[in-house]
Amino acid sequence: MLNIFVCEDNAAQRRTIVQTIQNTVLMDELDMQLVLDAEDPYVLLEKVKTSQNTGIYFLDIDLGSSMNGMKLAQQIRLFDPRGFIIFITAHSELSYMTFQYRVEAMDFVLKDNPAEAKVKIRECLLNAMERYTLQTNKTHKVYTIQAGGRKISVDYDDIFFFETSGNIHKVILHAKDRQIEFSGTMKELTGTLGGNFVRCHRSFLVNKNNIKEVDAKNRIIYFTNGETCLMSTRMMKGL
Amino acid sequence: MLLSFFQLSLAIRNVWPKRMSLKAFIILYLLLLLAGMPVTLLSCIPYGLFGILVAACIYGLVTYRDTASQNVCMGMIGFVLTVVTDNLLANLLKMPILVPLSNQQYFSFAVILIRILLFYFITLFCGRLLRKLLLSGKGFLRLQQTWYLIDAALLLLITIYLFDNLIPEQNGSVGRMIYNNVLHISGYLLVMLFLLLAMRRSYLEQIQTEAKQKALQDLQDYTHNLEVMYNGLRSFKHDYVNILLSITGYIENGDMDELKKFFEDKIFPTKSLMDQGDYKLNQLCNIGVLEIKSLLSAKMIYAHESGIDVTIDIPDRVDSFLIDTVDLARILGIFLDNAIEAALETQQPQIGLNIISNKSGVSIIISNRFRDNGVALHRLKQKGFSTKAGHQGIGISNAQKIISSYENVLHETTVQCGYFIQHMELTVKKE
Repeated sequence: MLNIFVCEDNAAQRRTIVQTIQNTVLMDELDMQLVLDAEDPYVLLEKVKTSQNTGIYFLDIDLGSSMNGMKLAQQIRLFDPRGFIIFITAHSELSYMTFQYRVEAMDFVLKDNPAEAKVKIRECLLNAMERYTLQTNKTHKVYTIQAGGRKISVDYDDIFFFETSGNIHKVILHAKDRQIEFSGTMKELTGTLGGNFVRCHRSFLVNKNNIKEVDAKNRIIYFTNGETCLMSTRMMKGL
Repeated sequence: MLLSFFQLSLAIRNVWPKRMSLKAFIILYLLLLLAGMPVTLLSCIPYGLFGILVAACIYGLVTYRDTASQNVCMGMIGFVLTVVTDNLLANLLKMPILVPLSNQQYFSFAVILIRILLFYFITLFCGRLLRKLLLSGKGFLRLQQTWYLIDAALLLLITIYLFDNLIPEQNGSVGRMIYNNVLHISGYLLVMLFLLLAMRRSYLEQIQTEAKQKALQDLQDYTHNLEVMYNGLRSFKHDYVNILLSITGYIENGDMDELKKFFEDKIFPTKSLMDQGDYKLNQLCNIGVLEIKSLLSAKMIYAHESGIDVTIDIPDRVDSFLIDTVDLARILGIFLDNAIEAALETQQPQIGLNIISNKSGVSIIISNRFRDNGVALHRLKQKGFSTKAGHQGIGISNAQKIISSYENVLHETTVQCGYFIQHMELTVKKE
């Protein structure tokens, strides 16, 4: 069960949002309930503190209070690290990326166009539901890279291989639709990652589960996304 | 003779900046052999050696174009290395223990074999070392010009060495020759060193002035844009007062229908006025580094003028980017150019620039919509790959190289829902 919270200072707009949410929950038969729609962020925060379930939060950014939507979201994150935060706002100049970065906001609904906003709210709810069920059903392992204040998590299943970079203190992670170059060494990685990861070459550490084909003659490994990497004869045995 | 040329090409192969295929190796060998003919046939040693040297240089220039200047340099280093190592080994084999052995017929073959093997490993080792030292692409060595100068210096130096027995008044005296050699070589080395240093200085200065000039130009554009925006705002302010007055008029008359009509026709459309035109360029004022600010404004103005929906979000002030400004400007320039080009291929072009500063550093996120034609991410990042005909696809890999050289930079490339996202995390260096 997911709890839904709404924080919006304009009463008329709040009513519209709540209406849309309740309609969607009913129509799509989602396992959610609207717990609270508040005008005051502090009231909402108090409720969040006592809440047990994971929540979906629809927050306005300009709340006409000493606490704005961003700060509220940061507070909520302390109590509900896995909650889904969605910002509803007219501030189109504050773009999505910053929110995603700061509080891992899930999405961003613009209220300039009421019809579009309704569609968007529905999408957000469905999306949150999908992610929530995925999270609970699957106990997947995640590799986390820490850089500065940011944590990047990559699902083990999405990782194809690690490659040494031009700089000896850095490693490149090749994953599904993303590449990350970060500080680290192959030696550290081989230690922390589990048995599915095999060092097949001096400069490659591969995920066995994502290998499509091994060409032993030419010593090339093919991955499911079409990427390739080399392997050395000496380290071939690990596969 | 065949053997010594084989050794020479082996040494050159070992110090070569790139991996040399077998075919290339054989071509090099034949070329050297051809150039080296005069040595034995005409017994004109200096000219013959010079011919070999020139052959190595020409070979270096012709093959592997993108590292031509480095090839020439490494070729010559290989040349010197061969001579040095070969002499060393020859002396080693003359050691008293080995002399009686080498007289035996079957053993001399083994000795030659050992000698070649030793030669191979020594040059391989030296090659690795030299490559690591010289070709790591750090700082000044990254410039092509440096390499050309080093090439010239080395060529001159070796030429002097080869031709020094043509210098008059030596009368074949070895002591005199060594004296002459040392004098010449050290003199030229010194001159070349000074030249190199002077060139480096002037080059760095030139780069700096160019960057400053570019920054100034961009800033002028930025100011001009701000002025235009300000004027737009002023005229809107003026209109706003008029609108309020008209509303007051309608309200005083209690004419609700007219007011409604007026609102729908005149006031509501101004909403679009708020969105367009001002594309949040003012957020750039949060950047305290002039060069970066001017670069970003130039690119963003260009993107906007090309009809791209530009979003800029820089919520906090950023005064330092933690890496060299010139390097960062190059990286951002490449990324933004790519983003603009890719976005223009789509129906609804969009570009986003977010710079977020936090306690531990600065995050720069450049996102753009792109036409997803199924090309996998890793192909896009390969050197030499380009979606555009006639382009070399060198930009991204250059940027990648610069980023790799910094340890405090995390670089993430993601493809997500039709967006291509470059995310750089610049962190404060650990003590």
